Amino acid sequence: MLDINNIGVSFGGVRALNEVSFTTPDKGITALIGPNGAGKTTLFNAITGFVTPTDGTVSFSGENITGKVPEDVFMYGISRTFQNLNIIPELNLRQNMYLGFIGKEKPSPLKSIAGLNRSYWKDAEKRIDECMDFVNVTEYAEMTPDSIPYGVLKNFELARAILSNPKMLLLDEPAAGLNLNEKENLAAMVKKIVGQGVNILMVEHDMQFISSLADYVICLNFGEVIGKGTYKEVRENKEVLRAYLGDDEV
Amino acid sequence: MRKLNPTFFIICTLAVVGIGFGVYNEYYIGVASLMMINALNTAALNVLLGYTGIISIGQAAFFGIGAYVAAYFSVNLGVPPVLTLIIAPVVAFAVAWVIGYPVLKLHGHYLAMATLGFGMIVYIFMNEFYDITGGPSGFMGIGSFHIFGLNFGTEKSFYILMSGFFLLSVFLYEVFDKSFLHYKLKFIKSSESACRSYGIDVARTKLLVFSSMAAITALNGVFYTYYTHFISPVSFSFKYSISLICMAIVGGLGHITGGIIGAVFLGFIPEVFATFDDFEMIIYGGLLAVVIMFFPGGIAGTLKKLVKKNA
Amino acid sequence: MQFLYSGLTSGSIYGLVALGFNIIYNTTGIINFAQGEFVMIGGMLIYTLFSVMGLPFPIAFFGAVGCAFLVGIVFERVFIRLTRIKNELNLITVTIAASIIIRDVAMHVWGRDSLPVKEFIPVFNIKMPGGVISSQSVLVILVSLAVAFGLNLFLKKSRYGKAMRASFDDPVAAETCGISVSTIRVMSFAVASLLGAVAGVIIAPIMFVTYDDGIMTGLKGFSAAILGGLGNFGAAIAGGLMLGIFESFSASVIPSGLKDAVAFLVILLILFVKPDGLFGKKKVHRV
Repeated sequence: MLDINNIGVSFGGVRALNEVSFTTPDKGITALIGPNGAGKTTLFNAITGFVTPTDGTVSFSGENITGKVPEDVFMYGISRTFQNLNIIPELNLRQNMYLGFIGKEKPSPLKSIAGLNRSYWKDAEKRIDECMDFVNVTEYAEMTPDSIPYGVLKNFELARAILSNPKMLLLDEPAAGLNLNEKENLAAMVKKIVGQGVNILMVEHDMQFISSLADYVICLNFGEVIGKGTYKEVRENKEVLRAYLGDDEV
Repeated sequence: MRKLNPTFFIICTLAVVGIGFGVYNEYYIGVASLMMINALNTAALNVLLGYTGIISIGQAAFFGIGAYVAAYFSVNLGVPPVLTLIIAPVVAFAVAWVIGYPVLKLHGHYLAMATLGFGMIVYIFMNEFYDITGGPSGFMGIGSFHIFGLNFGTEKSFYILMSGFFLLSVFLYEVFDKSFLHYKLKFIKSSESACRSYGIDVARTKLLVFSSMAAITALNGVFYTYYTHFISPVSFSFKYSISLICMAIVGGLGHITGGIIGAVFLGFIPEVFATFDDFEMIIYGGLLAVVIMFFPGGIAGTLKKLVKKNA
Repeated sequence: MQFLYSGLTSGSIYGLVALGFNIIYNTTGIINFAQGEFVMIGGMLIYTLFSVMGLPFPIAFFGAVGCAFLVGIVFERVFIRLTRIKNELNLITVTIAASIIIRDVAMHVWGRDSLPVKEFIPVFNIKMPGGVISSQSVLVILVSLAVAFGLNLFLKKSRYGKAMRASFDDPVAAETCGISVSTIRVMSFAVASLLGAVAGVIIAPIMFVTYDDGIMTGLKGFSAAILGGLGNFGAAIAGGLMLGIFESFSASVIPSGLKDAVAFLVILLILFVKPDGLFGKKKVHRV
């Protein structure tokens, strides 16, 4: 579905990504792994338009989205989460959900103020309830973030990301900072989302988390792809092991 | 959209009507009129700063642009005041759009400094281009606001005019506060990147908000000029921009009532402490410092917290 | 060429103010909107100590500068340290608030009038190619250079100086090595105040000192700092000199009233075209 073709990104003298190529399968979960600084977030930024690739192309469902700005990439059906939760502390969870669809539908603000678009907003609220229910955060809907456990907030991020009915979800270290229970919970949520037909590309460090989820794994190091395949294949790839463990251990 | 909360509007209406009928001293009527003008300028700044996170320390420039455009068009070109109510905001909107296009790409102290620089440049132009503006000695002989034969030349009549506009604005700000635009702006303030990845055209939204608030501030400038009949650059300097920031922060950023509360609260100080007129700035600065250091929510925010605690 | 000499003079002052901005920004990330007030205080103090009390210049000088150093410490302890939530907006605003307070206090202590300060050295003109330069201007330039040099030594040799440099480079690592953020912050405000005061002292005989000088001086110093780039100190001095010369030059071709606008136009231009300044290090922004 997502076709990364020979992507290169240079920042001044630094070659952050070099000749990165892979294609995600049409269904399921792809994991992007690699040591810190390998370029995983840079790749996400290149895909979602925060960084313009110096070479190569990014295609989504056959359409060329290389270099498009993030606002446009979103309209193609690609949703993205970030490493730090972008949640406004003064608003409750439900209100924080609004971010998920304000951009997509673009209702005319004047019409909304005038009280038209009533059915639109009703549907929007319904969809919000659906999504929150889908990831089991409904009981926290009226609470503000400071009184909500971190694990729940991470699930909330997923709810917000699927609000717009995306075709593909880019998750940036979704399991970071979670305990074992919360990780299992998250994994179940992710599987549920895939079951709805959403394609997932995620950056992750937790190998166990990935092993239970990923259909396809890509390993980056120093900005280049050093291995791709199933979890098992990549796990046994000598280059990958060397990248993580160093020469002595291999 | 959430339900509108009429409480603040009712309070404002009662206050405005109360002052209108209860106060006979024309001087205090005038103070109230000016307070309303300041309140609306502060409310506009609140939308920029408290909701969208745009640090603009040059708002006085738009206030002045509105005033000078209205003065010039009505005195030199004989344009009826009603038309200047449209021309001045349009001019300010255009200027803000052009300036905002590059400036709003900046953030934090860079943005603050750029808006400060812009404000200073406008101030210097006001002083320098005396053929148009009258220079440091000011622009004299501006008439009163009149429409359909009604002349709003006296303190009382201007107060009525201003009150109408003020209450209308309070209502519209409340509508804004309960709309999704409120959330859109706060999300932008919280994280522009997250907003962009959710499809929001942040650059365009900020430009629209900045220009709209500039237009509103200019509109206030138009009223100001028809009230004082004489304007000079002194009223539109960096000091006014700073006092707007003070009022907005002390009142409470991000709360729609904050701007008006701050302007009223700080507007009382020179009146109450009439003998301490010279200490006005220390009190302003001191209040601003105390609020920033210990009560970042301002008056509005602190009140809300107290209400929540006792709820 | 006359503009070159007046430009170097004002530019030296801008450079010192820019250094003050740099120090605070590099160690704490704060842009001190009150930097110009430190300059004003220096000028006011030298007026009191030298012109009013008639103390011999060296004593007056160290008195003024020493006082300013203390003011810097008090400033940080009161306004910065006590601010509960130290985010960018709050810190910008608290320094704005502080500048308002300092300015108003100065107005009450010294009044609204412009105060004359007598020259520290005999005034005479030195003939230079294309114009003259006054002995006062030479003094300004020399003192600025000396101060910049002294600052450089301080940062390279003294314990506090090295600690501050470590903080510039990597605040987290520095803290891990036991350098307290709080101490560094106080030091940087004290040093910045000192720099500002020196500038205020040496420029005082040339331009009368007024309680609200600080606003313009601060803004122009900031303009110089941005022009050079907030990264390194040589850039601050270079930025100051460039701004001073450019401003002087402009005054000879455009109406003199618009001269002040030059510095602000420079701010806007630099921020649009090269926000990291002419010599600044590029900052990487994490999305």
